[in-house]
Amino acid sequence: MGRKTMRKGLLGITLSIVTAMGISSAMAEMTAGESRLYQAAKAEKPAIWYTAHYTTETSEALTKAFAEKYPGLSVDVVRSTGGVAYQRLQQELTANQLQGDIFSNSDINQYRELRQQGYLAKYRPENFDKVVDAYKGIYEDDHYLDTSIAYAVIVYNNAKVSAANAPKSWKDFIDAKWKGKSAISHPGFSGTSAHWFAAMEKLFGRDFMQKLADNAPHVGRSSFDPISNVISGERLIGVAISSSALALAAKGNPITVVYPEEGIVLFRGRTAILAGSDSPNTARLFVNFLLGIEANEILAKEYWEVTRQEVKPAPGMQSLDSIKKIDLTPEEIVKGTPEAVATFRDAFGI
Amino acid sequence: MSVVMQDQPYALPWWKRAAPRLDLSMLVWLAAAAILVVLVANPLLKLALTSFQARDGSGFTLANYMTAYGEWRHIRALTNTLVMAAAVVAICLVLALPLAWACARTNMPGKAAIRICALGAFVMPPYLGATGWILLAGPNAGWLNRLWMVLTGGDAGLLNVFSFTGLVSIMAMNLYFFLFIFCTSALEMLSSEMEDAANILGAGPFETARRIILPLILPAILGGAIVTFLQSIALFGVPALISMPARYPVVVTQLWQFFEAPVRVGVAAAYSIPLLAVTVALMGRR
Repeated sequence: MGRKTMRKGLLGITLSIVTAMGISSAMAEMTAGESRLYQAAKAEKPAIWYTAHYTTETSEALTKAFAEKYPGLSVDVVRSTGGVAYQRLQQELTANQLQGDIFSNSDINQYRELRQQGYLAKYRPENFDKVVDAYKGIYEDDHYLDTSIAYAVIVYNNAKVSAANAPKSWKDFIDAKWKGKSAISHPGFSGTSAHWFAAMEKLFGRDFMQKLADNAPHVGRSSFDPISNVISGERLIGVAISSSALALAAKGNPITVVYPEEGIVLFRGRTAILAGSDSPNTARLFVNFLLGIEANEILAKEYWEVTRQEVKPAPGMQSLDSIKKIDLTPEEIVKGTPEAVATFRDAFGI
Repeated sequence: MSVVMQDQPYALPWWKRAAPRLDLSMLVWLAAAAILVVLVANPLLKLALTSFQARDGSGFTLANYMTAYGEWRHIRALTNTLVMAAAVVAICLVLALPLAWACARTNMPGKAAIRICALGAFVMPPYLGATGWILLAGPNAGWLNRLWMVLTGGDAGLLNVFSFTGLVSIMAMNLYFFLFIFCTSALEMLSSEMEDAANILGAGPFETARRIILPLILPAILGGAIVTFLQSIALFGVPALISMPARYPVVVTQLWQFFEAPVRVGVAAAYSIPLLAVTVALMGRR
């Protein structure tokens, strides 16, 4: 009996030493600032993260890794399309019933509006300085920042279109030979689509919209829709976001990704903390985590562009160093996207 | 004497006079009215008020109405919606009336199964039904169209779900249940003596249906048609998937866009007033 107790005691001590070592090693990985936030966050409720541009799987992988890195903290994901997330947030804010703490989406117009309304909290995470220079972006006196990078590419169905026949450029994309065979998404519903249209109007002028409309592309709501249409064979070519296109191509779907000659259109996914958040420290720690190495490793697996030098990109992913990029400035986006939505509606009637 | 009789009620103290009126049914009625005011009248009033409110919440404005009806695209979505709803009602009548008649007035086998199937069409979320039809009748990759291309050796499909016809057909398949259920119950309550009398007087089945049955169940048909019409104006699941690729904008998809950044709740409220007016007008007529 006594022995058993002793054994149990020994086991307990060993376990607690191991746990303590585990915790201390986790603590060791934290900077002073991070552990300060961590201590303050422990008393808070789980933070709620409204996100649109990550897939459900990616967002859940990110929050899971966060909870593992910071035991006792958690972030709950509410994922939807950009418009829905924003509507929900606006309704909560106008009704003074804020549930969300963190908001991630790619449409800078939404952040501008939220900032004007005074709904965003100021925060510059420690990890911001460690981000690759080209992908660093923090706006309006540190009220929102870039947390992920993807870009627009062309995808084609390689079971039905040969590489030689496939479009090589955005100009090819609106060629009359693709009449009734291409797929896009509605810029009024998808922020990335509006951004892409603004880039195309910058490249080709207003002509682009009419030529595209004459080609009668299939118009989806989400920016993921064109890829589904190309994979199913409903349409042959489509405009797609690199992360989902490359991931789906790697899984063996019959699509090939083309980096258009005029340049890929860079999308910067942004994140902000809401001023009315009741879990502000958890939110800050999470935003810092999004720019960290662990988050980038998860994003790399899902074919997002990595923003930290320490992390290797997904296998087979082309380096963007030598590839032409169309990187619109915030001003170009803010001015260009509503114009693109208006010309789209006039040209397409929807 | 009579003066005394008249005066007597007024002689009662007020609590005694009010007491017999406040019985239990009165309380239930008042509670129901209060719930209705909170749940129905309150949001409607809020909607109407919002439609006249400036975006920053400062005072009365007509700007929301100017924005909502100042563009041909928005007007077209309104007329499109009315045309769509009318077409849906027409298809529902063609689907539901014969089915209801067969289920209620004939000894057709498998009536129970047909009723359950009709209920199934109603219970299924419209969004799922639309997705199913996209898989079946997508113009290039739909299974039915692929089968057609294999059978005929052609390179074009037969059906195109992304069209006006596709839109109204799928909506009708989701909504014909209302007319079916309204008409079945009306037909079931119809006394067969009427039909017998018509038969004895020499009318055939068609003549009987046209001159006896149809006028008798006309109120049910009209009621069902109105409900179907209102449902098709308000249904979002099917237009969300079909109307955009079909390039046929309707009110619900346009309303949605008013909630994109910049969110224009006032404009959305102003834009939804005709829907409300149509509803009130149709329900008032019943």
